[in-house]
This record gives sequence, structure tokens and C-alpha cells, in this order.
Amino acid sequence: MTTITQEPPAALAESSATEKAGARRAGSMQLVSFKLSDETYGIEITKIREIILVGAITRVPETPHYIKGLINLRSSVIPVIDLRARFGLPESELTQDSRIMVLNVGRRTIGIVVDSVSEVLRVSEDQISPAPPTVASLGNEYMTGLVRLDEQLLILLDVDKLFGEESQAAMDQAVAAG
Amino acid sequence: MSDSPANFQDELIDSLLGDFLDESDQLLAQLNERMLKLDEWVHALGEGQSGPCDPELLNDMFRAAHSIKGLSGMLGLTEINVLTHKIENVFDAARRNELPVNADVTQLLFMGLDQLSALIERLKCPEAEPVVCDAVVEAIQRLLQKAGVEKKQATQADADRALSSPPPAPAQPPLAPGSEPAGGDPLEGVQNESEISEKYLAIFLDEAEGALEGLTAALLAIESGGTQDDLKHLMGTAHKIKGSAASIGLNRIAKFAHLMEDLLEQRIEQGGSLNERMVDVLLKCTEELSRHLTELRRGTPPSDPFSALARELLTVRDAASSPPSGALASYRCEVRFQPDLPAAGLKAELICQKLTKLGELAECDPPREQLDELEHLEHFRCCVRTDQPIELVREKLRVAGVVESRAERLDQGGGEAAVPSTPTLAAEPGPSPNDQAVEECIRGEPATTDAASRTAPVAPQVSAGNRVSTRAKSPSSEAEPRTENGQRPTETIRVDIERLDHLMDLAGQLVINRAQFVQVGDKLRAALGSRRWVIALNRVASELERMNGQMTARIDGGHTAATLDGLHNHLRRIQHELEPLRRDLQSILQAHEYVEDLFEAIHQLGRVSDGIQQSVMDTRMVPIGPLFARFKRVVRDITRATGKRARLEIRGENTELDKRMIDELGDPLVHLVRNAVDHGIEPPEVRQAAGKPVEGTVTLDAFHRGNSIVIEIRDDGKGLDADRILRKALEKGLVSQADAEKMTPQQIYQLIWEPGLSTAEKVTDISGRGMGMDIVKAKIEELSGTVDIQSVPGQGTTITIKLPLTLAILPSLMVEIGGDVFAIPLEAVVEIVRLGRDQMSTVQGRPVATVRGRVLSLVRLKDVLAFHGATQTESEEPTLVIVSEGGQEIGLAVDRVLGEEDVVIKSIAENYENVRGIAGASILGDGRVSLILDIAALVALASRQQAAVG
Repeated sequence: MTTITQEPPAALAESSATEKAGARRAGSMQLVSFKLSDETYGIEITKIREIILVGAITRVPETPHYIKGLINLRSSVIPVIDLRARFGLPESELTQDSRIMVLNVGRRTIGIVVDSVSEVLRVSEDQISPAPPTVASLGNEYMTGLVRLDEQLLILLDVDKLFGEESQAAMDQAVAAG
Repeated sequence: MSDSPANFQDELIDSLLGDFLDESDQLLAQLNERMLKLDEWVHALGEGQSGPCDPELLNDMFRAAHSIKGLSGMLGLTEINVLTHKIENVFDAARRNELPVNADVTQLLFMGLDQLSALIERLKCPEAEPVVCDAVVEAIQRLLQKAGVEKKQATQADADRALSSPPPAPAQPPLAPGSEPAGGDPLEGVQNESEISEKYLAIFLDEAEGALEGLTAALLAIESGGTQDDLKHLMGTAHKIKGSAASIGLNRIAKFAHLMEDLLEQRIEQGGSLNERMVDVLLKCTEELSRHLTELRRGTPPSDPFSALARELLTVRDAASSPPSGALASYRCEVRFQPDLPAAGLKAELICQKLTKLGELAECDPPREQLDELEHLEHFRCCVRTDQPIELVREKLRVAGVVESRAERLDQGGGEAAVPSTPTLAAEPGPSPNDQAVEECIRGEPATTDAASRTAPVAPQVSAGNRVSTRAKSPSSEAEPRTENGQRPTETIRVDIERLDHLMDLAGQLVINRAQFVQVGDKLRAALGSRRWVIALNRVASELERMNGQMTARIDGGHTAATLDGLHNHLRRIQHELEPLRRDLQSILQAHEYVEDLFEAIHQLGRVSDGIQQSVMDTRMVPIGPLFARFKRVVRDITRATGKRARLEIRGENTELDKRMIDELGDPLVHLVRNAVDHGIEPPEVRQAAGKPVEGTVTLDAFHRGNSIVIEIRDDGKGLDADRILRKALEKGLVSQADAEKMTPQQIYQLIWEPGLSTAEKVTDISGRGMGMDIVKAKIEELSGTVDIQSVPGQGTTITIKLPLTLAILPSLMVEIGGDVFAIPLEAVVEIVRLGRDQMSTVQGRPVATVRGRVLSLVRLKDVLAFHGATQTESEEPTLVIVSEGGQEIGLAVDRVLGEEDVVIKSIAENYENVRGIAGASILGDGRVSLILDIAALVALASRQQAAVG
């Protein structure tokens, strides 16, 4: 007997609202910032499940070039995405500082390879400005905005858009094919 | 009106909802199954006919519908509630004989049940299409109105009352109005108290069981007659039971015992004794009481047969008290049938139905519920209680095929006043018009009298296991039905499937961990190396010792003492240093033994982890029977729609499969069964012309074969048309003309799995909708299964589905290709050969390998699947793993075969998406992920490439 969890849409919306409220207490939010090439990026902390060392990655055929492969995360198999490749940044060797950030995207768990993880920081809403038409190497549809820090600019990524939509498209494709 | 999810935010309701879904699934399955019986019966009656149906069957359905109604009402599921209420009303009207059950009614009910399933499905999956069932509800409403039984029974309370008095009593046909002896249910409104103290219940049970034993023994001793003292003793016992039952709140038992007591008291007052019938009834009462008590003790919901029995008690009491000249009288009827009369049981049933119209029927011998299964029957006896004259009773007994019939009035008092009647030889009167329907159904198909009489549809019924033969005299003769019915059921517990999945995952991890231990152990063993160093070390030590000794001798000889002395000291020091080293190494030597211990422990761990995995897997196994049973309805619907005749034969229903697999198999199987009936089975005329039985057979079979489960769908229809398939395939460009000429029929049949190939002359709304055969194949392959089709023209088609025992574990061959480790499902592996350079060549530019004269296409993984990143160069002389899929074989070049392993399958799609050529992933002993190759896809890809080149 398959048991269903009756989660009313209303309640769902509510719970994610509280989640956001936690992260954005008093008009601020917590980010984890990381480096990719020379740029600094940030992802909302609530999306991040954990940060792990880069271990053995099993490559998978017939996938886009930015899919680095699969890893074993405590007995569950998750895909790892090479963000450099995803954003069209030049390839580089993995270093001592390279990490895999494990993210929750929708119902999925995925990993992204980043050059290094910098810090956890809290930014206030007014520090965030909307993204200009073109920043760095990626289209601004993946960006929530830019955060002005003391000396640098931090690109705030929208993880759901970055991977959610793409896997959704792939799903549709698979369904249509199947 | 809509069951909006917002209503169940409450967690409690959530869990109730789970229960409801569980329960309603079962009830629906039950309803559907019963409906099919009813439908069969209605169908057999013929167009436009109707007749009284087995009340037990209708009762059963009424109860099931009522349960769903009640539960849905409690949870506020308005739509379900309204719909089931209507359905319930139909069953209620039907069992009261207020609504003739005909084909229209069953059709409507089927629709209603379908809607109900849809509504319940929607609860499980809220995204599903909304279900509108107003039309059905209205149609039922109209039906009821037309029949004039628009329910007075509108409230839940009414329905509950109707339930608590098991309506026109099971086993007793509805009483004709006016002849009801005791004015409804004597126990009506008598309810047990809701809280019964555990402690006192146990005491009561002990006490009452003792009393009942005494009662039974005394009754058996009396048999009939009995003195006043005997009766007083019996009355006392009944009184005791009544008292103790009432004191703890078991009011129904109390009231019932009270009625028994009443009967006895009346006999005592009238100075009479008990007649045979009374003893019978009383024995039956004690029987039922003790059954009830056993069930109470066991804690299972007790059956409550008291209402019907109470009525019987009142009947015998009234019979005894009413003056012999009274309107009501009991008659004993006896008929003798022609020897070898076909379907004599059904004739007897017909007599029962006729007598029922006169009054109340009892003491049928053989019991009424067995009648329709009886082939041969010479004598039939029963009692009827009626206010009609005896002549009328006699008349009713005269049915075609009856040689001799007898009816006599039963004695009223102790044994006098019998009214014997001379046996009346019945002539063979033509059946009266109103019996036509029943007669017809007994005769069945004129062409196939024999077969029809065996399967002749009479009021179908539910299993009669819990009914008690009224003639039974001793409890021992009752032992059988009781054990059959009262066997302690295996205790079960409902578990959320997610939890099982989790447990399965953990068990899988355990298996992986064990593999890690083995690896660690192996490494340890390798690291410790051989024990040669022990010997070497010992040799060094003894060499030093020897040198030391020689030096001492020389020093003593006085030769260049100073130099030697220095050397000597060095040696000493070395020896000294060596000593702890030796001790340490000694303990390393010990470590060798520890490693062996480790392996022993790993071995044990393996046994336990395998055991856990096996147990968890067993837990997920459910019999395939209920899934198969669903297709009875499918076959029924198609045969009705197409005018074909077919029946579904089900075998191997106890074969167990993984629950998930059962869930996934539903759709493909529906499609295959539909196909079998719609395309396979010929129309009756064609079948007859071909000399086949008019009724086609579709067989669903499930069994184990090796490490797989096989499901077969067989039909005895016309078989596949190879020419047509080939023509279609050529049209669609699936095969080339050159290939087509070389193909064997078997190869042609396999084309049916190709996308876009449907062989139906016309796309009917039955097989035309839903999935194509290619989707069926894809679905089965998703379950890591294979599917194969065999056909013999004119004899039928067999589709064989082969599935792994479980979805979670896959016995695999581990191989290394270009530095990556892959798992190949062992199921697909035909053989493994080492390939010499001379065995490899190319044909039209494609690499091939020659293995013992066979030429196979040599497939390199990197040629068929696009890998990004550098691939280690593959071996020049690879090992060939020959794999087969759907009769096609390819040779897969691998660098190294690592061995066999049972891998735990992990879905890639869970966190990513399905990848072409890859069936899944598994985790290796060292924690790395390895990919499981999808052989079917590889074979397809390889042959496509070949086609592109060639």
C-alpha cells in the first residue's frame, strides 16, 4: 500500500515561507560564498545540504559535458555538476581547495564542484542589487542579483533556476521519448 | 462538494486517511469481485430478464458499500460518501427484492464502482484529473426512483440499523410480507456496551464456555423429548449465561440467551418437551454462541449471527405455542429427482425459490448454499413454514425432473398429531410462465448442455464457509467449517512502504559495508605479505649469533684484540636492536591469524546481512493473485463490448512479487490481456468453424524459474499474422526488403515490440487506446525484465514476461572497460571468451569477432556511448562478454572481468535523470559508484549503428 502524504499546497507554501523567514531574518539572508575562476558566487544557505571533499567521481556517458559524473553520498547516488563547465569558464585541475557543495534542488540532491568555499556571510536586502543585463559569463536568468561587498562583487545564484528548469526540460524530453 | 485537501491538514486525519485508503482498496476489490459474479449471473439470465439473486451476495456488497460510505463520511470525503450512499441504496433495494437486478443495473453499478475507484485514486494522487461523478449519481437516483424505492433510508442511523439486523437474514431468503413470524429482528436495537472490561471478559468467557458445554451435552442427551427436570436444568444454564453476559455489557449475548431461556420456559409451562426441531435450533444456538465466544477471546471482531438465530428461536417457540389450526404451519417437504438429472441442484434451488414465496424456508438438506454446486442429487428435503394450504406447497414441489414429491405437516406438540400424507407422484407439468427465467437459466445453452449445466449460473454466492448446516447434530461434525473459518489468522501489521524502502536501503548498505570489509581484509592480507620474512629474520639472527660466537672465540685467542673487540660490540648492538624488532614482527605474525579471524567474522556478517536483506525482501513480497483478479473485469468488459466469448483462467496466483513490481505491472498487463481478447480470440462463429470451443480462454500464469519470475499471458486465439506484421514493418521502414526475406516467423513476431507497429485491422477503442506494445516492452524493461512473444497460427499466442525476483538486487558480472568499472546483469550474459587477435576482423568496416565459427558484432562501449573526458586505451586483446537480448547477441569488449557480484541497484533518475545505455548505478565495495549497463539499449544502439553503416 503506497502511503501518500497529503500535503496541502497552502501548507506547503506556508512552510517554505517560514523557511525563508528564517534565512532572511529582518531583511537579511545567509549565504555561502565560493570561488569559481576569479569570480565570487553565493548560494542561499538553506539550499545547501553539506560541503564535502572531492572524492572518486564516476563519469557517465551520454550526458552533457558539464555533468562530471556520479558520486556516492552515504549510499545514495547523486550527480555532480562542473560549474566551470556549466558557465563556460576555462577548465582547471582539481586542487586541494576544491570542494563539492551538495545542494537541495526541488526533490533532488545534486553536487556542484567549486574551486573553493570561502565563507558564510549574512547580507541585508539593501546590499542586493538586481543583476545587470550581462554579468560575467552567464546569462542573468540564473542570478538572483548582485551583492556588493567591501571589495568585491558577489553573484547570487538561483539554484532552482539553474538546475531545476534544466532537469525539468530533460524530464519532459524523456517522457516525450518514452 | 469537492474533497479538497485543505480538509485534512490534521495529522490524525492523515493517518485515518491512510487507513481509509487501505480499507477502501480492499472493499473495492471485494465489491468488484462480487459484481463480476452478479454480472455473470445477470448475463446468464439473458436480456431483459431479472430474477431473485443470492441474498448473501447482495448483502455482502451492501455491507462493503456501507463501510466505505461510513468511513468516507467520517473523513468528510463528501463525493465518495454521496456516491457510495447511492450504490449502497441500489444493493439494499436489490437484496430486498425491491429492485430487479438486470444488465442495466449491473452496468450502472460498474460505472459507479469505476468512479469510486477514480475518486479514491485521486486521494492518493491529488494531481490526477478531477473526477465528476454527478452523472452516475443521478443515473442511480433515477433508477431507484423508477423502481419506486427512493430511499426512506436517508440517514446513517437508519442504515446502521439495517446493518445491525443482518437484513433479510443471510441464508434465509426475504420473507414474503405478512408472513414474518416474529415481527422483524428480535435483537434489533440491542447493542453491546462499547467498553467491556478485559478482566471481566476473561472471567465471563471461561464461565460461559463451561456453561455452553454443559448445555450442548444436555441437549445431545435429550435429542428429543426430555423430562421437565432436564428442561429446568437447561433453562437454568441459559439463565446463567444471560445473567453473566448482561453484567459485563454483552447485551446481544444476554438477549439471545434470554430468548433461549424463553423457549425452554414456555415448554416447561406448557408441560411439553422439546421436539427435534427445537433441539436442532438450540444446538445451533449453542454452537454459534461458543463460536462467538472463541472469537471474543481471540480478539477478532466476532461474527454476530444472533439475529437470524433469534428469529428461528421465536419461530419454533411460536410454532409450539400457536394452536394447530393456526394460520401458520410447518411442512416437511421431500422430493426425489430423476436419477442422473442434469443440474439437479439447480432444480432444488428452484424449488427453494418457489417455496420462499410461500413462506419461510428452513432445514434444507443438502444445505441450500451447496445446491448450485451439486451435480448429482436424488433427494432434497426442507421445511417450509407458511400460512398457505398444503396443496399449494405440494404444487410448488412439482418441477420438471422431479419423480416423487412429498409434503407433510410437522407435528406441533411432543409427537402426536402428525398429519401424514400419501406420497404424491408428481406429473411433469410444463413450467409456468413466471418460472421461465429460472428454468431457462438452469437449462443453459442448448448446444452445450453438459458444460453449461456444470457452469450453469444460478444465484452466485460468496464462500459459504461460515454457514452452519442446520442438520448438524453434534459439535464434532461442525469442527471442519469452524477450523476453516476460525483458524487464527497470521498476525499482521501495516507498515508504511517508505519505511520498508528505507530498511531495504539500509540492508543494501550493509551488503556494501560487508564488501568494504572484504576489501580491507584483502588489502591487509596483501600488506602483511608472506611469512618469508620471519624465516629470513630468524636466519639473520642466528647468523649474527654464530658470528658472535666465532668472534668471542677469536678474541679469546688474543688476535688483534682491539679491532675485533670493536666489531664484537657492533654486532652485540645490532643483535640488541634486532631483538625488539623480532618481538614486534612476532606480533605481526600474530596479525596474520587475526586477519583470518577477520575473514571469519566477515563471513558471519555476510550471513547476517544476507539474511536481513532476504527478510526485508520477503516482507515486500505480495502474491500476484489480486493483480490477476483485476483482469476478470477487463475480460468481461471486452467480451461484452465485442460480442466475443472468452474467459480468464488464472494460475499461480500465490506467486509472490515485489510490491513495487506489482504496482508497475498493472498497466502493461492490462494492455496484454486486452490485446489477447481483442486481437487474439476470434469471434464465436469463427471459432466454431475452426472446430475450437466457442468460448476462448486467456490464461494468466505466474511461476518461478531459476532466479526469475515468469508471467505468461496465453490465449487460444488465432495467433499472430506474420505476413501482416512484416508488411507493416516494411511500410514503416523498420526492416529492409532484403532482411525481410531472410526472417523466420519467430523473428517477425518480435517486430511487434517495435514502436508504431499495431496489427489491428481497425483501431478499436479497446486495444487502440492506452499504450502500444513498445511501451509495454519499455515498461517491463524498466523493471529489469524481458518480454518475449511466441505464436502458432490458429492455436494462439503466448507472451512471456521474465522479471527479476526483486527490483533492488541484481546479480551482475563486474567488468573493467577503459579504466571504468561496469556491472553487466548476469541474466544477459551468455558466455565469456578470451579473444585472440586472429579472431577479430571487420565486415563492411564494422568490427566483428569469430567465436567457434559464429560471427558476432564486436562492440566497444566507447563506440556506442559517448563518454566525455579521456578514456584509457582499451586492451588490444580484449575479453569478449557475449550478451543477448531478445534473441540478438553481441560481443562486448571488456579489458578485464572482475567477477560476479550482487549489486544493489540505485536509481540515477532519483537525483538526475535516466541515461541512455545505463540501467542504473550501484556502489562498489570501495565506495565508488559503478554504472549498470542496459544491455537491451546497447544491443539496440549497436544494431542501429550497424544499420547506418551497412
